Amino acid sequence: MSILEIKNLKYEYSRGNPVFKNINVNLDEGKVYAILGYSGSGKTTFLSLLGGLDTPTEGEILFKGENIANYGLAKHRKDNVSFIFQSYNLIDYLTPMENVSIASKLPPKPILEKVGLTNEEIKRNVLKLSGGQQQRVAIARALASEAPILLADEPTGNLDEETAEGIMSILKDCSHKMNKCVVIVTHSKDLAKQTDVVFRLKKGELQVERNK
Amino acid sequence: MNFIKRAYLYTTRKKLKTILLFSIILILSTLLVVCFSINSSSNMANANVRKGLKCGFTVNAKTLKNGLNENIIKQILNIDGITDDYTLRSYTIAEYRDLNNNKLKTKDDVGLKVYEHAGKVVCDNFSEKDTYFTEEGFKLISGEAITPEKKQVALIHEEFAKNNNLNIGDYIVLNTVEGKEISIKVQIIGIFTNTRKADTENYTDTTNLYQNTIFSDLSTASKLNYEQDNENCQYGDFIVEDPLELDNIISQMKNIEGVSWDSCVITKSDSNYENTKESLEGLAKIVSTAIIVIFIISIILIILILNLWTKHRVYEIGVFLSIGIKKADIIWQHITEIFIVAIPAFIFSFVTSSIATKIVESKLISSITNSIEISVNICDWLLVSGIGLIIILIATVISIYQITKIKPRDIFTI
Ligand SMILES: Nc1ncnc2c1ncn2[C@@H]1O[C@H](COP(=O)(O)OP(=O)(O)O)[C@@H](O)[C@H]1O
Ligand SMILES: [Mg+2]
Repeated sequence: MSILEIKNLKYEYSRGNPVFKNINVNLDEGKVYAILGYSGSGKTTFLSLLGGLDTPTEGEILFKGENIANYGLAKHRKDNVSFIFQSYNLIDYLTPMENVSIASKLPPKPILEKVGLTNEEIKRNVLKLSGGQQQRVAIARALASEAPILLADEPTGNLDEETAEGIMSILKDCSHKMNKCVVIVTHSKDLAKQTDVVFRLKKGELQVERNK
Repeated sequence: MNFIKRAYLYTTRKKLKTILLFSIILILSTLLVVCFSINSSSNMANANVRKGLKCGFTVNAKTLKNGLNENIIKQILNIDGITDDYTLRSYTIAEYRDLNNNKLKTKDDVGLKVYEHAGKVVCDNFSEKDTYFTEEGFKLISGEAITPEKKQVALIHEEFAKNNNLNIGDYIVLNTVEGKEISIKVQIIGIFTNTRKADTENYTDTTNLYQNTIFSDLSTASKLNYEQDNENCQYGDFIVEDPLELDNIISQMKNIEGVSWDSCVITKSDSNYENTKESLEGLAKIVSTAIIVIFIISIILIILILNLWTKHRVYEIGVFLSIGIKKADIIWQHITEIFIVAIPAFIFSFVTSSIATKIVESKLISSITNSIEISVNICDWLLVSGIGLIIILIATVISIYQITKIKPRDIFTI
């Protein structure tokens, strides 16, 4: 069974103007998905529905077979998904160690080391880290929550190509080595190439562009 | 990581904010505690001044057929706020005779003659408290003063005693000069003199001359005035504990039944209070205005600052919500933060306001009045701290509550 089953999903901000409709797709653990699409095509909206940040206008999202609306959106956010944002969203008065600790009881150090931060960096003020390092902290925080689903909205949008590559490979590791379901919204076709499945949001529909 | 730890890290790492908020709370609470202390001290001083003023009222029941009786006096004294310091008085004019019915010699070389061998009989429950003794310079030179338990007694003037060869222990007879003839035998228990000369001597009625005045007791007065064997009297002077209550007490007295109060003349004696009132109230008014103004400014300032600062934390709150931290937990974090700063500020304000009140006392208050000593009252300080904490708590909850109303969906667009 897929970890996320999306059935007949429709969302509209104003009546009669759906951002998208009729989306039917299943997402599995251990796979990296990319969602491509023009700005304004509804990528963020779609991701927020998967993450339980909002309720769909029509259709349902099942987590391990259970409708997340019944499961409880807040509980879904807490237990099942982790978000990674374009702007990292780190807490500026906490060190990387502490930023990871707010999300879980797991010891933060091994996780931060796993995403490639040094012993010194993990105790520095987060604002004194580079963009790439900050995004690594954000990923570490997402991993610390032990949620099986990782939702990343343009995680490399603010980073240069090389750094973006590094982040991509960490996310890939998360999926392939830790068996997480990773959904990445991105502009970059290059990055999308590295994922297992590529979707495109276009004219309110989710099309499968590639499924290797 | 729980909210207490987060609150601790926030306040210790955002040092500038912490210091700023600490200073604002410290300054405002110090100002308030100082004002409250001045207020308390001046209220206390006012109350003391008022009590020392001996304000009260006089009931003139001369027009009542039988005057004021003991039962009514008792009821008046039972009213809350009336002191035990009261005097009862009656006046009459009597002709003085010896036991053999011979008319006694009175002074008649000055003044206007209306009645001969007669004088004013001043009857008191306490002769010592009579204004002749307290204000007009009369002095008892031998014997005893008149007190309530003494009946059919008299104090006579030194000169009258000498002219009639009277001594303490002797008896004289007082006779009414008008209306029904009543006479009563009284025993001399004291001799007085006047230390000052009356300036009205030459044109007053001879009965009013000091030398012809006799002091007696209320039972004698009642006999002569009303032909009754009781202690009914014409006048009662009462003193109230607090001049502020004077009108209230008088109206309570008028509710006592059995007296036609409309026929009585009630005179307030509170001129000394009315005179000091303005200076007492001046400071109180300034201080209470200051308290209100500072309070309002504090509330507005605190709400504005907290609101502004919390708005800057939308992003942080959004992140917390997105990783599943509960709204209540976030609200508790903010409350804890503000308490970490506010509680030490309020505690420290005890020290700063103690110093400030001393400065205010020496620099400011002493130039207005010197009857006030100001010190910080723990109750005032606790009150300011308590109200302050509540205001801060409310301000925090309001500002944070607005933020937590953000839909989780908005987190992406923060
Ligand atoms: N809060 C909102 N209220 C109304 N319309 C919105 C809101 N957020 C996004 N939209 C609209 O919905 C569409 C999809 O937005 P979004 O999901 O952010 O697109 P993308 O992430 O692909 O750029 C856009 O046309 C956008 O203007
Ligand atoms: Mg977007």
